[in-house]
Amino acid sequence: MPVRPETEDALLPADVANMAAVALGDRAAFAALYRDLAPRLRGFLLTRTRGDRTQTDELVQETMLIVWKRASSYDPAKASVNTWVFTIARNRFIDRCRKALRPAPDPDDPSFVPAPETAPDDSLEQRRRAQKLHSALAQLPPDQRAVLEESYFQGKAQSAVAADMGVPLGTVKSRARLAMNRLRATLAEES
Amino acid sequence: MIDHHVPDSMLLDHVAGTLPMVADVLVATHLALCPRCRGEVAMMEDAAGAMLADVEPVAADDDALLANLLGRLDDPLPQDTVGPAPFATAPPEALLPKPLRCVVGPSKDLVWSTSLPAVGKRVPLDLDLAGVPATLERVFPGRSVPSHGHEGVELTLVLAGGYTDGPGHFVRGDVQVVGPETVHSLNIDDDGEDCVLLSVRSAGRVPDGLKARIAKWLGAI
Repeated sequence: MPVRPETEDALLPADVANMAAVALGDRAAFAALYRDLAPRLRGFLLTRTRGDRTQTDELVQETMLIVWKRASSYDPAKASVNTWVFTIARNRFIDRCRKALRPAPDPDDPSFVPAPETAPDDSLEQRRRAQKLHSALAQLPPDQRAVLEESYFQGKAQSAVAADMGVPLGTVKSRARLAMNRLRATLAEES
Repeated sequence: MIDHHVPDSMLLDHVAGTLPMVADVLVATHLALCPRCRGEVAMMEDAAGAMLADVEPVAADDDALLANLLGRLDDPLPQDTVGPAPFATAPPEALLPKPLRCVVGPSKDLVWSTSLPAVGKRVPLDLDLAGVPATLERVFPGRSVPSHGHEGVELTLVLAGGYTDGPGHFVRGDVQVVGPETVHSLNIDDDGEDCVLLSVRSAGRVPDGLKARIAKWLGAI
């Protein structure tokens, strides 16, 4: 059964519950997920493709098809649904530009160096982190948030962000650094 | 223990997906070896996900698009524009982590040619449509790469062995960033092991127009 957004106060967020159902092949849950995600993905990808509507529509459809196919690999203890879908859409966009799959570290590769202590495998903790990050981002000074937005959504290298804002590259780098420091500090705070 | 990391600003460009392919491969290879930087990347991606929640939705004919997609759910993923990496199925090995191996192939098949007699060998890599020059370097233990400068910025990732450059000692997984004004030399550890490096440069055999573009993103480090 698809979970509607109004049940957001329930123990499990609607999108996480829907992902679990999608992993079991629930098409109605997938439709609910699509209606929630697709309009925002479209907003993100329209910026990224510089307003190319055809390419954006194709990317949204491909991203959602990958979400359907790989739903069982989604781990709510590792990332929010938004984060997981962002990485799929971004990688799909890059893959199309390069006409090749983007190489990524593989935890099953013998050369992969695992973290010394395993992170707590706890989806509740992950959701707390996501909420903290969301409110910390909302409180970032606008010039710091703008650097992240231009970088993530407009797909600009930091040198291009600097040119765009008419500030030296060092200023952009320090704004990004300050933003990351703030997020890191927020995550380290006791809840 | 990795002491020399990819600069945070370059990790952010990696998360945004704005690095040229060859630099992206260098970063992904470092990430395979460096839990610290994977943690940073995870946080940057979490921030991007949180910001995606705030993106202004853009409406379309979602009834039709959804119906179309529901009819295609059993289709294979589209392969028309995207093929697998050239060496996606190269078997696991100790030297090359997967992100690098899947684009250059198994290390046993690399064809090394002499770069400096009695000092080292190299394999030029042609990974990038943008023509960013990259090489794998193999330098013999106890040797030195003589003092040299760079026209642009050079990124070096250590894959095996180690070397000393000034106060810094670099081992597997470490990344060194050398700016255009720096003249330096590498003293390879005399421990019997060849030192293998992935080197990416912003200048060299690069046409002028590209050079400016590449210098621009490498300048962003």
